[in-house]
Amino acid sequence: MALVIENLSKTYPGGVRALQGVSLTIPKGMFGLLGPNGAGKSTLMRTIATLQEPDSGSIRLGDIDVLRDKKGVRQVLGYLPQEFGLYPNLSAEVVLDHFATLKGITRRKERAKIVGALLEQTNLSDVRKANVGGFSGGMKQRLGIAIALIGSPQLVIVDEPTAGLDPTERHRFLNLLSAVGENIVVILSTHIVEDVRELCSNVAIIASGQVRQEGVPDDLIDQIRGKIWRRRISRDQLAAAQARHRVISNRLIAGKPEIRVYAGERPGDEFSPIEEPDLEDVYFHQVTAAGASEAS
Amino acid sequence: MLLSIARFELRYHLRRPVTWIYFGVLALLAFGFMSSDVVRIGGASSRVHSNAPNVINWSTMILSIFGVVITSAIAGAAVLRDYEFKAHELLFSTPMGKTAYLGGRFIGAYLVTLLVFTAIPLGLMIGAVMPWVDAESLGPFSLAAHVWPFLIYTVPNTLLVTALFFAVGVTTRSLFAVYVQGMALFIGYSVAMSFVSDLDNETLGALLDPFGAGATELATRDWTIAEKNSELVPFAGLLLLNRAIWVGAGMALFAAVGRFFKMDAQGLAGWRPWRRKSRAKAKKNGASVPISATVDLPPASLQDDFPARIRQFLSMVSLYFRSTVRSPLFLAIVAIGMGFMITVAIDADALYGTRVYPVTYVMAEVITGSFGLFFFILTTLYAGELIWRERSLGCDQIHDALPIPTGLVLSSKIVALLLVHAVLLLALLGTGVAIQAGKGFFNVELGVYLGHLFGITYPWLVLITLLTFAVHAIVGSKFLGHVVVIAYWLCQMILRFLDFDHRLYRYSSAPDPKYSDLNGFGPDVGPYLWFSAYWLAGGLFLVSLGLLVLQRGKEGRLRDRLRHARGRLNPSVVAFAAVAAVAFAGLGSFIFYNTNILHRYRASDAQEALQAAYEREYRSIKDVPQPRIVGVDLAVDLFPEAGQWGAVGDYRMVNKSDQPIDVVYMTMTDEDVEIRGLELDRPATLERDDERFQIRTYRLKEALAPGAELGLHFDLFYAGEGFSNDGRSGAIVGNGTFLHSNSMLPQIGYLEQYELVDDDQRKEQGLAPKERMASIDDEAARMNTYIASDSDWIDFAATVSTTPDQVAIAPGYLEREWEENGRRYFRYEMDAKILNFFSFLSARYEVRRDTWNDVAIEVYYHAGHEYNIDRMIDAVKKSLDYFTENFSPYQHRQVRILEFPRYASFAQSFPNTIPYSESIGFIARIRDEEEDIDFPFYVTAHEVAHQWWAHQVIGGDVQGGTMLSESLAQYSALMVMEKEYGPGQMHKFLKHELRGYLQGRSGETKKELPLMLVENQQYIHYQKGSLIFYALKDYFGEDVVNEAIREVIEKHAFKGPPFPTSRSLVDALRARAPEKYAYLIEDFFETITLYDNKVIKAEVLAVGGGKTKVTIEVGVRKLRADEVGNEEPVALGDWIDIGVFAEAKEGEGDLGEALYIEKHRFTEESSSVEVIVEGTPAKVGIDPYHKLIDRRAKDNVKVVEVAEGDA
Repeated sequence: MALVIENLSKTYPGGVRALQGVSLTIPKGMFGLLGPNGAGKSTLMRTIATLQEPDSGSIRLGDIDVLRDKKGVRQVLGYLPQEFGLYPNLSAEVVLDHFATLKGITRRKERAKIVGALLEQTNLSDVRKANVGGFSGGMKQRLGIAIALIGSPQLVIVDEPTAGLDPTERHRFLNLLSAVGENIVVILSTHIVEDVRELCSNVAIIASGQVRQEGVPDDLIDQIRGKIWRRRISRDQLAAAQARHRVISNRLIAGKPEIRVYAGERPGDEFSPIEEPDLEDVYFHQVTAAGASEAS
Repeated sequence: MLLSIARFELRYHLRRPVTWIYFGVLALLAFGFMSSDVVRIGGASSRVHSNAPNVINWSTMILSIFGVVITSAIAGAAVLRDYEFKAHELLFSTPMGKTAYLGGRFIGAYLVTLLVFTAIPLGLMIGAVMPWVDAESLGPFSLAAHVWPFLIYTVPNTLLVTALFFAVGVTTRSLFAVYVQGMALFIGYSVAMSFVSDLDNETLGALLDPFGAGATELATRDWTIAEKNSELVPFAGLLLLNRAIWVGAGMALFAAVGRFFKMDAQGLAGWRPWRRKSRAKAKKNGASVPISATVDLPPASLQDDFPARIRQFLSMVSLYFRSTVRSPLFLAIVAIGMGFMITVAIDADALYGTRVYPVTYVMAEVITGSFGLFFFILTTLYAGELIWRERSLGCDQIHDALPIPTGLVLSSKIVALLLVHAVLLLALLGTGVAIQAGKGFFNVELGVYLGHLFGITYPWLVLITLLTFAVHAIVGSKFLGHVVVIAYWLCQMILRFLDFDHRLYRYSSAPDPKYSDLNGFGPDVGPYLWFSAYWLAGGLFLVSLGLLVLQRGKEGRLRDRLRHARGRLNPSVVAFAAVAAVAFAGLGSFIFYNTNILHRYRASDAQEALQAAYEREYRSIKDVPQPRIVGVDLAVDLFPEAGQWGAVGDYRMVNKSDQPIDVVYMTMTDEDVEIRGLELDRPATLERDDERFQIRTYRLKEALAPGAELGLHFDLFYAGEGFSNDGRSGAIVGNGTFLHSNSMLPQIGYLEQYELVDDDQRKEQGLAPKERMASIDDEAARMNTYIASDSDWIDFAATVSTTPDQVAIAPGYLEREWEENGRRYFRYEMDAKILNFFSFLSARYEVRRDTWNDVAIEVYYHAGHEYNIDRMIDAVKKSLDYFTENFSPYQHRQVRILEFPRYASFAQSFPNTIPYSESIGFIARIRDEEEDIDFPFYVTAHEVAHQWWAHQVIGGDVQGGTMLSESLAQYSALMVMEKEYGPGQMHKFLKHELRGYLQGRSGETKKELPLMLVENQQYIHYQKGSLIFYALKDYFGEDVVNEAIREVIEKHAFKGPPFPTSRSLVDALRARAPEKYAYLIEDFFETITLYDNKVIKAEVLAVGGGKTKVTIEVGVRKLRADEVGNEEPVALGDWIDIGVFAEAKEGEGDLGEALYIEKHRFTEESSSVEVIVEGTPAKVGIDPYHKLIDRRAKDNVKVVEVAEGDA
């Protein structure tokens, strides 16, 4: 069961074109949706999650027409939005139990088993009786994914789930997610490249409402192999370098700026090649390219 | 720092558009108050100017109380927005001090609030100069009149309220808590106002009321028209104290919160030990536990069949319900409700300070009657909370993506709130039972509770809950939803004022059934159910509309939601909406058929226009001679269960004029009575049948010569079909019929009672102003009594039939009783002439019989209402004793008292027959005869006295006519009461009468008149009558007064026309007045005379031998008031009581044993009196028993001081 998105467009009342003809085919497994803030990721996620309607385009999940048969989608959907809150005065167990009922698991025994298993899997068994209001960010996020996993969904959408988590919690969360993503479609929307690299078999990079690139991470990396160059420069040279080269990123290494430049050939002697570019370089390359086309 | 934060705050609010919306709303309301007649506050009437200082004062005050809603919003934004935007952690980590932060915010918010409230004077001023405002209704402009109330109400009230909201806001960090606190303020205000109307607690109430309205009420409630037009409220006494207390309290609370407020992330809200615990527990969950590599979940089957939907529904209902009732705020609300209930219920239905047995309906009616605002606020708040619960928690996206129908979610929230309401009602029910038990009353009628709470209040709650949810769903935002809901109810209120009062367009409006022990929930149950069903259908239809556009997902604009609505138009939603719409239309048509076709519906302005048309077209027949009714014989069939009656009968009429009569006019006053036959016994033609006024004009073939007789045979039937906008008739009911002859039978000639009286209404209808009554010198008007213009003394007989289990009663003596065709018949005949004034009663009665000499006494009462029957019988006997001894013999052989349901609360004397409402004495509870006024005893004595005053001597239809009946009935009752209970009780009773009189004259809309010219004004002929005649008895002596009364009886009993005026009594009194008190005739009867007496200083000095010299400095002023209350001092020469009293013992009230009480003559405004008494004086007083009318009665008595002297 794959998720097929075709030609999805959405323009907000203010004129912001959040999605412009987005087409994607998302197979089973973990799918990373990478993009900067404001790229249209959340709009896309929400549209798939039946919470918003596009101006045009279509989405199909297997046999389900997502835009028409909302109920059908919702039955096989697990959705963890970017920001959420939960009933603060209820315990984790009660919250899960409630959502499980609403999801359709109305048989008490079945529900109890599933809730127990979910708490177990998300490692929240110890705090099952504690009020959700007192949960830390990581615990809340795990509870969120537990809610999303109720009822064995075929499609799980998680929107920027690791923002604000400490490294331990982040790992814990990603482990959980990868365990889920074996047999179903899992879309992980994020701007953190590391998350995608660690988890996803497929990735799409989206910027300014458009899909810039789509594919297996290694293929994408292969495409830029040999075209990324780096150079350490001083701060006052930065502006000049940016004017001359297509700088895709600049970062500090031990306090000194290092720029990376995309170029078919070595742009100058000062630049040294990057032998093993990573997904981040792909991402920056696409994002800056989108920015450039936007500006032109 | 402080000031710059204040400045920042001020600018922040000034830039918010909503601030200016608040300003606009207040200005518009003030403008509406002033420029229209929709709202009449502060006594505005045809005599009190629309811009009178008192009107401006009350308008400003009421609007500033209403403005608490706005104050809360501004203060809420000032104190809570940092938390809401989660900016507080950022702010609190700056070096800004908490004084600067809180203080600055506070000052800024307060100044903005004040600025917003200047809209009130502005709106009032602009409203007054609108071209459509009648210049005649305006007084001179006074800036002070606008500024003054702003200073004494708006400034302190907004300070208090802002401080309170700040305190609650920073403590709880919850806007909801701020609103609940607002509700507490309103309820506190209502409680305080209910204290203010209770003589014993008025001071407490005036101080308790946080807004100063109670203190203002006390200071201005006996203001006359003239004072309302010119005076500013004095900022002194209780009002000053009240303002000081509440501003002080607000500031103290604010200071305390400031002291304990911590600028940390949690604040006082985080100070919850249990929460810390759970946090600590959560931390234990360390990072070391590995997570399994695969997610392995047990299989689950997703259900979406009907039982599954039910389970989901129940799960949501239980979640929403529990999360609501478990919150501490809900407990606070329950506590507020219970407290409110207790304070209102304690004194519910009390009369003259005498409480009633706390029977169940009295308790239940506190809830159905006083909790409207409470439930309205509650519903508005909670509906807003619940419908947007997920959105405000932040789990709306998760929730919206679940596979559950939107309708299921919405309906579960509605049902959850309805459960919350049910819990509240049960809590109030429990409170009611507790109050009953606390008062030692254990006859708890659960059915009556449930009928009121779940039969009357709950359906209303269901309706407003549906409406509120529908509004929120359609509007799409919590704040705007609240605004629309409040605006909607305001519009509904305004519509009513504008005479749009048909229930078909007033949402949730239905004629509430009134419970009576006799007749259960009574005749209005049916109409009530129809209207409720109609509005239920309407409410459900609105909810189905709301459901279609309720936001689900991220797109909240109306256009998007309308687009989604198309997708939601599935068959079940469409079917639901269609059924609701069809039911709404169908029920509406049925109701319209009842109210507008079976019955006639007229808005009040249409009714006034009709009355005006009657006057214009028929006034000319007023002086056309008509035959007068001299005999009535009736056969009345009552059908209580069906609510029907029939009357077949004959009038015997005589031409008592000196001209031949060729035209006879006949009017049926009740348009629902069907005329099956109407026939004169002389040849006549029906010349005109004017259905607008049900008036028929018959022309006699041959004129009726003077002295000749004319018979009228009629056959009338009241079918009681369907119901009107106000429900069904309460006169003919299942158990407790009380039908008055006036509304049943044809009346002859022009009926002046249908003319409009209010000069403003007359003006609107283009009629000239009209005197309320004919002058005392109008000889022609004296040819009629004040109760009928087509008859006076008549012969009367009637046969009444009813169902076999009931007793039917009419005036007269029972001649025969029989059963026939399954009905029970009674034949009553009167052996003497009576006034054309009779009634028919029927109920399942118990009877208590007794005799006084050869007079039979019978009390017909409802089983269970035995409480005061003995008192009533006792009162009848003692009244007959006193009246026969002092006035004249009793003209009948029988006195009957008949209980009727509490659809009206009065007792009324018909010949030998006294219908007596269950609500004014049957359940009165006299616990302590020293303390409580024996109310049933008093009412009974008053009504028995009417057998003399009205049924022996009846005044003409001119000014002063009712003094002869009502004032004398009051005097007679007081004399019987004084014999029974002593003068102490009289003083207590007269305190109520004094207050009633002073407040009554304050509410006068036309003109006040002296007692002998009373124009049927109740506060004059009852209250002032009591005061004057009691004082008269005190000055002249009881024998003298009674002798004068006997003279009036001798001259006028059973005589007329012409009928006597108050002059005959006043002249008889004048002739017998002791010389030194002769001046009182003018003061008491011919003028409006008031005193301002006070003790300035009282000193005592022991003079040996157990004697004490008391020196009393007194001030005496005598004032004459004109018809609007302008007062002029007049020369003295008055005899006034001086009293010296010992310390009051337990149960003696304010004053102890009188060591000295004598009348002294005063000629100067201030003088000194010296008396020597035995014993130890504690208090002295001038007119200490308040026999004279004194607007400031409290300063009449003073505690003595020991003289510094050389004793």
